[in-house]
Amino acid sequence: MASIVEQEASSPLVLLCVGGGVEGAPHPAFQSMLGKPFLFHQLKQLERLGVSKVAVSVESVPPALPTIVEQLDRPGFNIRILRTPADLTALVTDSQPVFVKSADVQVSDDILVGLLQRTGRFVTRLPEQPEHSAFERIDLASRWAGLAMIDGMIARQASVIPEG
Amino acid sequence: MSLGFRLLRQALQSGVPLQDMEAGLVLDKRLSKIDGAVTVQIAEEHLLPASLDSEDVVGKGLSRIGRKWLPAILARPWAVMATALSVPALSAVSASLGYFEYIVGAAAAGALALVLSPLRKLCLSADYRSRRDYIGHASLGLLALALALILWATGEAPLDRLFLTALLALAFWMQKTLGQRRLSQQFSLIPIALLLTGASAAGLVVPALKAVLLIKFALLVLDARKTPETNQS
Repeated sequence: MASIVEQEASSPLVLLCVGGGVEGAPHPAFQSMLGKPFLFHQLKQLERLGVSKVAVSVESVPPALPTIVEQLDRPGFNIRILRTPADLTALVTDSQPVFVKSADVQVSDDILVGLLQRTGRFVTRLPEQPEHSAFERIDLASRWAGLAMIDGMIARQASVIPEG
Repeated sequence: MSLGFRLLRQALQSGVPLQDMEAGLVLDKRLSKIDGAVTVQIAEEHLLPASLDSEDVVGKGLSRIGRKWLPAILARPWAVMATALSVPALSAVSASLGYFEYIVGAAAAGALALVLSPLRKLCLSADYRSRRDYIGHASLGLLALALALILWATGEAPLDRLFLTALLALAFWMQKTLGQRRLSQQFSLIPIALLLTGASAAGLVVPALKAVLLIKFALLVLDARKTPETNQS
């Protein structure tokens, strides 16, 4: 499969967002699949598709995360751990595309490549249907598919949103 | 509030357009949210082919075996360790049996090591990324030695066979720099080993080795021609 990253300057930073999860249970991103955390497989998928810059945002750093990063980070496939919105704004310019992926969402290679190759900002939407009930609601008629393309400007504006 | 939701909220407030996803993605299991044992199982079914396809040496037949075995192996740390150790161990056994001229045993152990080699790589791919895989290289060296010993022990013209085998090893070494995921890698160790085993039974090892070399070098030349074009584009 051809690399999605044809020009380094315009290639998006992929942001894997690990949310809070359910107390007492491992976050789905750290659920073991084929002997490795799901996040490991997501990073391998991004590497396979030719993505060069990835950031993983977490509220607290689980013990498995630094190990995964140590295993996969290399020249040409750079992984950063982010703790706060400010960490993200420090990483990108206003015009830098940022592809946001919820870390509990699995998506096939072809869909992911199609979205990464798109230019311009977008938020993916699923219609309100019973099979989509696990996805977060956007409004009464639609839910978020866990994938979006934004830019550094949105990230900067989001960093000043108050907690709560 | 997690960073993902902050960004989503800000994107919606900023008027970022909504992009409708293709219908039926979730039902087709091409998009899923991991939130329980069932979704984990679905995700594993999708992850496995991607892991196996990332190994060039796994042919279609072996891929099917891998799909069955790999989840069971990866779920058990002792099985991961056993798979990782089996390749160098079998390679050493193959070379030893070759030295003592137990040809069938050496060939069987060598073939098993070759079959298990891709599974070993998948078991250890995470740990060997940024380091040299000395054990893997040593195992391949032992297998080459075993092949040379087998060829020496069987039949006539042993020097011809050793010379041709050395050339074949050279071709594989060249493949590492020229043939990443290209034509020459399709003609890999497993089909060559099977071809030579058949040729050995028919008493045609030297002609078979010559044919293998001719094909291998022809594919390497094609890869070498493609590489500068790829670099320029």
